[in-house]
Amino acid sequence: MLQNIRSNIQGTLAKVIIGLIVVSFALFGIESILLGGGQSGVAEVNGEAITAFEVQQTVNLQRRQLLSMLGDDADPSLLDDDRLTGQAIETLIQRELLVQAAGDLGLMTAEQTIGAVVGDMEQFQVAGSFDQDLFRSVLATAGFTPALFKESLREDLVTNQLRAGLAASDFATPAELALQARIAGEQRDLRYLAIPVDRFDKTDTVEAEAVAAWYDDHPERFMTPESVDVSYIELTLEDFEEPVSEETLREEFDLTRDSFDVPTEARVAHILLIQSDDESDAAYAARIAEAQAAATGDEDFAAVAGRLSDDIGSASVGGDLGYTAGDTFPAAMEQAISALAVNAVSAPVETDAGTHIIKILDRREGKAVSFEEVRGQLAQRLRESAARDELLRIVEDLRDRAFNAEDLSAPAEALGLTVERAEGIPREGAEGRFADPRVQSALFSEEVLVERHNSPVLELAPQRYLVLHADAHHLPERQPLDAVRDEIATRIAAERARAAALEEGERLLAALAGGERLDALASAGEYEWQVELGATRSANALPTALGRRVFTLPPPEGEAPVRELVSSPAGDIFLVELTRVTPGSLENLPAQRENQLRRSIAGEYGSIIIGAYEGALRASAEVEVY
Amino acid sequence: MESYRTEEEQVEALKRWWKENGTSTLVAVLLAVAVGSGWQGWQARQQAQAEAASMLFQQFLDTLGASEQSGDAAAGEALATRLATEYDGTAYARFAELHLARLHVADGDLGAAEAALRTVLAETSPKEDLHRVAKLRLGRLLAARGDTEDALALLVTDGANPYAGAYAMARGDVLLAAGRDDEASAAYREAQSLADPARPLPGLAEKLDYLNPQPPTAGAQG
Repeated sequence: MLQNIRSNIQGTLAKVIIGLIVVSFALFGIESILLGGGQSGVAEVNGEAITAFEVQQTVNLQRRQLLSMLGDDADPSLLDDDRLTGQAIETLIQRELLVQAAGDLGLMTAEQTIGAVVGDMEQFQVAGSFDQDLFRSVLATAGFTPALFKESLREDLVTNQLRAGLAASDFATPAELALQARIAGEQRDLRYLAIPVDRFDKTDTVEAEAVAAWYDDHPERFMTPESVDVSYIELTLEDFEEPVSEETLREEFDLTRDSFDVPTEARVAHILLIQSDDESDAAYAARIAEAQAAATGDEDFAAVAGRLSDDIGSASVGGDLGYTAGDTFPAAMEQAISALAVNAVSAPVETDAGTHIIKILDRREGKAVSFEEVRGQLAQRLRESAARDELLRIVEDLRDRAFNAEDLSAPAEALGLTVERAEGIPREGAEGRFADPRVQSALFSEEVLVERHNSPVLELAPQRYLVLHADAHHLPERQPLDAVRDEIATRIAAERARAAALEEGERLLAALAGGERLDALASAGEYEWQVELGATRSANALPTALGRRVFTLPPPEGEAPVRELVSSPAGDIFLVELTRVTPGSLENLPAQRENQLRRSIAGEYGSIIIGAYEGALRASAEVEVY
Repeated sequence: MESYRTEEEQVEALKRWWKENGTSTLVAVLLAVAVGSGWQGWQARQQAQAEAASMLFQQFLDTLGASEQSGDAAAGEALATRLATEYDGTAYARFAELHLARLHVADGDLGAAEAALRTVLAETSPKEDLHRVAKLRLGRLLAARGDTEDALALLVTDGANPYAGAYAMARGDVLLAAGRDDEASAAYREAQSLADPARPLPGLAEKLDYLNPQPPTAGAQG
């Protein structure tokens, strides 16, 4: 074949082609052919793929953040994988766009900067200094390689630089500051009277006819949830555990006692001498004698081993071979070892490897384990293994029988199992075993719910099985009036109370307009009233709804106050008199507040700018989500 | 393809060829090497230059964080000036100019701030983001100096400007400061309609509230 190729490349065209191949390899390397194409991306941003790995990392991160923010009782729908994945892809697209834009602007991160940032991160430090091993292990736990982590850090740094350059460079001009100070520093004096809605709430006075009418007017309310009554068989390992006889335990102990015994181990060092090909027997014997004399003399055994041993592996560590339990070395050697006391040196021992001079460095005495000590452990092991076999056998049998039976009673009887019942399992918000998504989807499947077949035998956990049969299906239906009478009465009473409170407010307002004073009205009606002087938009002690309304009222003209009725979402009514509005000014603002305003003005402009920048990037990008 | 009968003939042919073309081949090879290494050297220099600018900018950002507490802007100003002069032409230099403008505004030196912004304007083309951002800020600066009409002229946008929301907010600020409340209110409304709902703008909302008080409901009229 090579001859064939050789003769074929004589043509000019062939040479050109080979030239091109050579050039492309030289320029782009073999990776261009091996690694090109074949991307497993989730999305693509201007041709750059976003990988499933990145999405998963981001989802995990967001979930951790949500959990730490909301605690354990976080709404599970917020942590839903689909939802988080959608958000994560969006976040990553936005980030990729910024990374690309930063690249186009020529922003980059020096290797040194990355090194400094990594070195400064506390999670990679032991006793205040960077630790390479900790670095790798922390990353490995999070699923990163160091290269990947540094790449992501590099991206963080350049996007951060881009934001800092564009948005954090924003400022507040003196004119803007003065303007904002006029508004933010504006002070309003007012007094108000509170009419609590509770005072008008009279549930027990709601007439039966009104309740009935309300019930009839709202036919879509008070539906019971869809639910199913089920019978089920649940199998667990414990159900099949039976006591083990003393005899079986003894037997098992005799069979497996070796695995419990702790063997006696000796730590051994040796000097190995090997006769080389051109060495005479006499010279070899002389060498052995020399080593033997040195090893038993005053010189340290380890030093002698280092000097004389032909075993290259152990010579450098003083001849140390580690521990043996009697089965590591050739028999002749083990025999010598077992005969030696600690720190004693043996006479030369011959093995296939050569001649050994052995020293025992340490001996750990073994321990035989008594039956009583391991009895509990053994019994549990035997019980579980027997139960496991029985469980699996029954489960197999149950699969067949449940598949062929009308309901669960016949299979249960045949196998000696108990059928349990549960009523009113809802489609959502079920508890315990019925909350398991596999149970839910089996229970509400066509075959089980409509055709009334037994469900497949579900493995809920290792050694825990469940099979279900739907006995009755309750569609949503309207609760009878009697069941919801109290609920309706409460609702009507609340509606009436709101109206009554508002009416009372209007009455008092009219009285004020007629020349009465707020404090007099308050004491006559036993209402609380308050004066608030110098309230500002950001600092006031007003109820939220009232505070919001007070600062949208026009300032009073002349002496007469501006009056208004404000209802809170709960239905409480506030009757307010705004008496004076003093515009704010920079001079009257504390320095700290002034700085705050400066930052918030710059921050607001910066925020619009970075938002517009990202929006424009997105609009002009080619983004594809698969 | 010629074919040669013996090795001597081949060697002869090679020697002949070398005599005719040797010099030009050598020149071509040397030239290629020179160009290639020159290109690589230039790229390495560019890379080193950009990395140095990046490190300086990073250092500048770190000082900012620190000076936020101490109130000492001199160190940051020195770094930004170095960036702007030594790395002229890079994005980092322009970022530095924008930050210099900010630092000068904070110092009360509006003239110096204006000069910094004008440098960015001169070095960028009108469709570039940095140009539009610098122009917006220049407009706000002019208004602060009292040049209301010049400011408004700078703050006009066409439909293609992604920063129209910020421009509208700035127009609102200029108009409100000049006492033209109704026009200011209209500009703020435009800014609000262009705003991204995910980025709340409480200051803008306050100004709109301030300019548009809601009279009391009918029953409350005293």
